[in-house]
Amino acid sequence: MISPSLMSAKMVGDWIDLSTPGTVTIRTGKVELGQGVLTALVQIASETLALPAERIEIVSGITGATPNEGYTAGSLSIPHAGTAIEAACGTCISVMRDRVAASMGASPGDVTLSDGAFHCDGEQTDHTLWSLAEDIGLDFEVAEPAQPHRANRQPASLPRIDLARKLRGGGMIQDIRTPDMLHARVLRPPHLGARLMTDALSEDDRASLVIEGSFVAVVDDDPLRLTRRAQRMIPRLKWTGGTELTSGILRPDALAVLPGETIEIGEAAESSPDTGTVTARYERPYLMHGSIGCVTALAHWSEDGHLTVTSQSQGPYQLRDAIAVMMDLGLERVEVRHAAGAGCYGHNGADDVAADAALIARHFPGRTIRVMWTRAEEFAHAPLSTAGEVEISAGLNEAGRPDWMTLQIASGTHARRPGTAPSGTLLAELLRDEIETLSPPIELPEMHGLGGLRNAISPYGIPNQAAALKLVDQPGLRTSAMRGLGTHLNVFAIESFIDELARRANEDPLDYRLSLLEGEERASAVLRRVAERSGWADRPEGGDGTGWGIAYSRYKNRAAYVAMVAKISIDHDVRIEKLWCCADAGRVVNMDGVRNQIEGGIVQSMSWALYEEVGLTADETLPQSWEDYPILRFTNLPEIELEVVASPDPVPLGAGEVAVGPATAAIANAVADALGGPVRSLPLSREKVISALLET
Amino acid sequence: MPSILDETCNLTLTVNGRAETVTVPTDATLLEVLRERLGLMGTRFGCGQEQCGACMVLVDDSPVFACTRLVDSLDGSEIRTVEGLGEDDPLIAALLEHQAAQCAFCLPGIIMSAKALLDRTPSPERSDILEALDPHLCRCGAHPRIVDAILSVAQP
Ligand code: FES
Ligand code: FES
Repeated sequence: MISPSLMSAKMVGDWIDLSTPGTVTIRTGKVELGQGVLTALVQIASETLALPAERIEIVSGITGATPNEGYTAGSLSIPHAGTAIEAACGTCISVMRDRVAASMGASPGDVTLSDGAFHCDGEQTDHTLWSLAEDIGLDFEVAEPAQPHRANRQPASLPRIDLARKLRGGGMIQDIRTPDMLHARVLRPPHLGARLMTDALSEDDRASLVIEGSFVAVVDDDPLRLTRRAQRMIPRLKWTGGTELTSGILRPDALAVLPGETIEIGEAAESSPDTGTVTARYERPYLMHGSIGCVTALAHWSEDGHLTVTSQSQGPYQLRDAIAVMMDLGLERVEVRHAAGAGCYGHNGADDVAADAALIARHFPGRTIRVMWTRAEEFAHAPLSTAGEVEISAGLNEAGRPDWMTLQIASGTHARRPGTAPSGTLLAELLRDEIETLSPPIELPEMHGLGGLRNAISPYGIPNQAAALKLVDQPGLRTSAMRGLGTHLNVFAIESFIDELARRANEDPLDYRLSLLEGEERASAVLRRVAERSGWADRPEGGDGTGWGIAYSRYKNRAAYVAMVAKISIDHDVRIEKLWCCADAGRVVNMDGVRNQIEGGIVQSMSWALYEEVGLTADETLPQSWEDYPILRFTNLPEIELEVVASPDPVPLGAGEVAVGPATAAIANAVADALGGPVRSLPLSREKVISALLET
Repeated sequence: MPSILDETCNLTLTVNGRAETVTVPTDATLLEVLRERLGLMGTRFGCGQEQCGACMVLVDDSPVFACTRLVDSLDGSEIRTVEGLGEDDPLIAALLEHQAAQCAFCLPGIIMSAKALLDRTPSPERSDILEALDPHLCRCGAHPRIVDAILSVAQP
């Protein structure tokens, strides 16, 4: 199957609607998260149908009305939805062309399509996409094309279809208002598992709140009054039990002592004659999504008991199913409709806030409930991205190259989205049912590119490689998916380790890598190219507060090839001076979109590398504000030079997550170059740099 | 006991050149009034704590965090939001030309800071732009494009 999206939506009519003459409506289950996916999909349809983009509409992420394409995640939207839409449009044209040819007594080769009208031997016919759709319907199966319908096209860049509106404000879920709207806020326990002491509330207070178990909400028709009522109610709520956090539990090395089930991949015979075994440990802290906008949802419970939820979720179908379970409703009574919110980089609070609104809506039939989280809720209650620790060991041969290499990883799960467990994935459900323990941590299967084990097998020609993940259940912490999952830690660790081996062998880190990539033409090509662009060969020797680093990875070991060079300086803090990136992302649909995604991935990764770390506040809570969780600012911005190379690949490989591993790794290697020794713990903060200096 | 929730006042504000009269709690912020009373959704809520810049507007031509500025201090001031920019505003055109956004949530606030900068300093250096945008966070990493777009409208 060319696209898994075609498994549940097999028919051309599942993807294309031609019921409005002159307009083609494309349906997709993938959703806009700020990554420009809908623009790229419109471009694919426009190019395949040879129709101007203005005549194509796109409907996205509505349960029951658009294909179920799972989550919009994993850099898979173009590989999955794009491929499916191209095949659906291509099938549609070829079936119609045959039909026109038959009716004209011509051969299909003589029939062409221009602006939605079919021509035969250069003469316009009476047949159009729309007339034929009416005549023959679109109830035929999407056929696998012998070759992509849009083969040999130069990558173009349709400008984003949604930006003009969004730049001026509006167009987001936060902006929707309806005349029947009620505004609501959930009042939250201090930590996971804490229960509301209902008896401690006065009669009046109880009557003024929506309470189900420990799920408590304030509702008001005036959003200004809502904020003030909520503020005054917070100190009156008393909570008991639950898991209090300590700063110790947030340290990555706490993972080593917590129990967990171990999952293994690969095979490594650690026995080959080696000239020595090298071992090093690397770690990364817990990270936050930190979307700039607070997650928002709307829910409407109709008088006849149907629930409509408007949500910025990455997976409308999975959310629908989870809400139906939570509220004990048949699937036919729940509809989830996607609406764009602020940038989303993984499983943030989007599903949770939708469940909040849904639960409240049942108390107010006929009204639209709007819930928007506060900044403190975003930080302290959305899922976190797990910390992790990796120990790498390798046996070296005479040439200083590994004969075998193993990774021992310890981390929490990257997968607690709706759909990963039968129930209990939504915060509202946990609160209402007063559930203390979260669903057990799981590892994603190979088919989904793995989770904590993503990129744990290095891309290098090392004969024996294996990795083991200890999947730790962290008390009091809810961790789930964020951009790239385990790839960030694993690529940081492996690429740092490879640099350490190169240093031992007294070889240039670029040459050392190339020697381990023999026969890997595309990998070597991006590395050579980034070296050439950055002037790697002529770089000054590291030290004196400046350093250069290089890194490479192939996302999921099967998607885009990315090489990176970083130039940094250290003056108390690490400063990135410049970053060069060269990527081979396969066939490119929308060149500017791919570049934008890779640039964004680089900037976010720079922020993770240098600044980000979840710690406890003075009140022993998770961060409540940007002051507690600083990220990269405009004044920290280096120059970035990106080249996306012409690729021999006939298929798109995705772009959104491919840069996060190598960007951090190149920066870390540059810091090691400047310091004369590695910093094996992220973020590369002033304290870490100083303690590394004291060690060397 | 009288509730603070009941203490409301009537205020007249000048927003994008228009006088607007609203009834709000006495401690209402400018952001609350813009979004929830005047329906101007360009100015965004990101944190409510002067820490992200999503709510930036111009008050008498200077950038101000609308999320904490109380409206009752704004009598007689000229307030400008992204909605007040013209159809053919050159800064917005440049941002579109550079496709300088991903989700664009941060952009309206950034646009107002950039406006104030360009009004003050029509030919800013790159470093002036970075300084002027320092109160703003962008989580999508659209920074490089945003800076390039602003540079492109700087007068030579
Ligand atoms: S909302 Fe005002 S600075 Fe964040
Ligand atoms: S473009 Fe998404 S926060 Fe800036």
